[in-house]
Amino acid sequence: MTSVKVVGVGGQGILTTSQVIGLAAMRAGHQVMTSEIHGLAQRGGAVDSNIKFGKTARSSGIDKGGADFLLSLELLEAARNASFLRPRGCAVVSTTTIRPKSINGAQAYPGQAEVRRILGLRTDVIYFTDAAKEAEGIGEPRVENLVLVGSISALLSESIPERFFDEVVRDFFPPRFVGPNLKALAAGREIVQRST
Amino acid sequence: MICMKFDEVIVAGKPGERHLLLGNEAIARGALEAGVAVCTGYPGTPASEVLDLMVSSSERTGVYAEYSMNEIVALEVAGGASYSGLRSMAVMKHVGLNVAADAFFTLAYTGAPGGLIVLTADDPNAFSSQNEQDNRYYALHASVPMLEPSTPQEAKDMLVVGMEISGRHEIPLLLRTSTRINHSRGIVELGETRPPQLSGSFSPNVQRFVAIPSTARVRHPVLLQQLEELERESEESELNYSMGEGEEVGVITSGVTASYTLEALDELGVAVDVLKLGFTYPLPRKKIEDFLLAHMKVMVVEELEPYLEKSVKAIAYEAHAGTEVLGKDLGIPRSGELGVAFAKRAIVRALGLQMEEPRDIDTSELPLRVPLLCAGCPHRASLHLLKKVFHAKDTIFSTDIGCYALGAPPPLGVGDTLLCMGGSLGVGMGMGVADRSKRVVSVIGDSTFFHAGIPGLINAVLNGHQLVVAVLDNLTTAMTGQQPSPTTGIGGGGTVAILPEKICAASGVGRVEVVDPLKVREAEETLRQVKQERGVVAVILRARCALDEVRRKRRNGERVEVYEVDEERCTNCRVCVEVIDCPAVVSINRDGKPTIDRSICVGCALCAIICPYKAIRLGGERQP
Repeated sequence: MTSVKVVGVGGQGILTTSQVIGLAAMRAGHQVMTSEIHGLAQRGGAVDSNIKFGKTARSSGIDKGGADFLLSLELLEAARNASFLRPRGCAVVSTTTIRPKSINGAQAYPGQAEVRRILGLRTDVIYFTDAAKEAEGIGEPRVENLVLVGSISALLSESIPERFFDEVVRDFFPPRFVGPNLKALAAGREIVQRST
Repeated sequence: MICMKFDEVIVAGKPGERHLLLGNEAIARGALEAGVAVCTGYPGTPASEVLDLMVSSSERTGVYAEYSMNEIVALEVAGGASYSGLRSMAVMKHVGLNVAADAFFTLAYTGAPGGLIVLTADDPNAFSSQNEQDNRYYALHASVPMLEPSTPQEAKDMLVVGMEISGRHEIPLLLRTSTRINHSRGIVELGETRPPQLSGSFSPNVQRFVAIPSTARVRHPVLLQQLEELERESEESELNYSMGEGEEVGVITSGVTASYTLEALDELGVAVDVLKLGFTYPLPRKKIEDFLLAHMKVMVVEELEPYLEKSVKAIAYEAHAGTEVLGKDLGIPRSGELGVAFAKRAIVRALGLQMEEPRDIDTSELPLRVPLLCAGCPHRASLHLLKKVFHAKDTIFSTDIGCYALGAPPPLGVGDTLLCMGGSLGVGMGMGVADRSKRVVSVIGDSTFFHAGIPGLINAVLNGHQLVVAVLDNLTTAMTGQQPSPTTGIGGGGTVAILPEKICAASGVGRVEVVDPLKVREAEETLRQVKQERGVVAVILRARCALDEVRRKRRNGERVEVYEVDEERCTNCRVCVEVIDCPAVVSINRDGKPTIDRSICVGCALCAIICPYKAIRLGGERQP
């Protein structure tokens, strides 16, 4: 069984991200369970979602130390959720930063080096992706999350052939978003392929 | 950011199709497969989507579905429909059943001839609730049968089986889920939908349906008789089954915890027998007894309270089983959410094995990210004004359940107490009686006011309390996902709006004012006048929810005005940052002047109005 924890900030499209991965895993013939936390998603809070797939997928919970993959749509949230990674797991991290609107800015927002150090306590397999830049290049800022899905799809390709991700985008997204999202998947994949 | 919805699958999916459905979507599909004709409820996380789907699909399915005013009304409507022979369902979160409890207990006596499912969604870890109560005890307490699914597939299937059981025994049935069922997706194979029988008729039976002392004394033994039949049914039910081949140690588990347990056993690779219970009231006494007798040691793994454990221990005692029964003493907590790790630790401890777990990484130095009221939320202006006019040191703010509760922590700091739906009024009155030197302001949203606030309001007038009632009316039930509210017309626009100010006036409130909190100066002046009044006074602070307002502009092709900071005028006095806590006002550190995030500013202008240096000005427009 493979487990992926998706984290980020409300409004970044975390539920869509986990649905795309879950649906692609299902098409590849796996059992799938995902979890979603609803309720505060639109209020700028930290949001997470789990995907588990494989021959069996019984529960949707991922414990600390239990995630094979941590997919973070935001830099700080990657660090905050580092404990969920299993030792020598793999982190795919967007360099997008969304600063918490804490009232006095007392605690400093960590830089990429600090996030790498914290994740490094679990693993040295870390891919940073400038998803915002890629989405900007595609001309549709709302596909940032699919850039990240593209990156992780390259790493999951042994268990989920990449074409299933493309299929899910074609079948489930409104027509005008299909093109940009397919481009986003391709861009995300390329980032990982370049760095391996 | 394009959310996929499975509405079409739920209504029109064919038998045998497999889809990745949310537990709540699976439950809605189950309702259609069970032939539910009437579905009622009040929105509450984690159950809301069930009702949303039943309402949004009702035109196509023919099901009568309504957002009821509160949970007890929901259960009464569903109960009445069942009295008249229709398959009915009432949907609520765990604390909603507290509200509906009065009807729930006596419905067990009168029964539900058409079949009646009560869906209660528990919230271990209180992700979006005020407590973590374990509603399995409601089944025990009310003598009502209960089913507990472990997966979205089971949730769907149990709705069909549950309705069949409920209909056959003419008794309400509790379907008890928890957040990780309602809000998990799993592969669900669809069954056949059953066209609902949409009209029924009531056969009067005073001895049964009129619950008075003389009939209660007759119906209670009838209920107990039914329980015996239901226990036999539970005994034979396929929902209770054992698997595995261990002899020494067995596990008894149910609900979402069963999935954690099975996964833990997979991962540990140990052979342990599992008795998985899906029909958990009445419990299958004989099946449990046999399971106990077949093992030296049995552990009960369950989330929240030791509901199963106590019963299993009692059964072990009565059967002289001599089996060691372990449960919470294995270190399984009674609070919070369990996960695979808890199940693993319990199993490892019971088997005397060892397990290594990686240490947690300390992230306490990272900045927190707490949910805030949205940019442009009218509640921000309302709360700011309430605090400004009624100084905190002279005032107790009793708040209530809804988005505005996000304004209880500093810096808005309006909310000294929060207890339950509608509790702001009663709790406020009690504190007012205790300390007459303080003003008490009860803060309550529109939907919560109608749900449970009105009796409190009338109580305040009737008993001569001193109370300021601030109704924060954003014309929706926002926290649970923008369901309609009486101020918009509960039927979703087609029906007459019911206004809190009219209810207040009709209840004899001395002075009732209606203000727009985003017209900040006028609203402030009105609040100052209201402050001079004694007795019960009410202020309705009405402005559309910012999310709805932005959507409205997007639909109409309108633009959103955005504000900006005039760097020259700004003295970095930090009022805009520290007083109103708007996510659009960004301040990276104390030394730098704040800026406004144009991508989320919706132009409410509150920051510009409160800026003492007039340093925030209109800075153009953007697409909504």
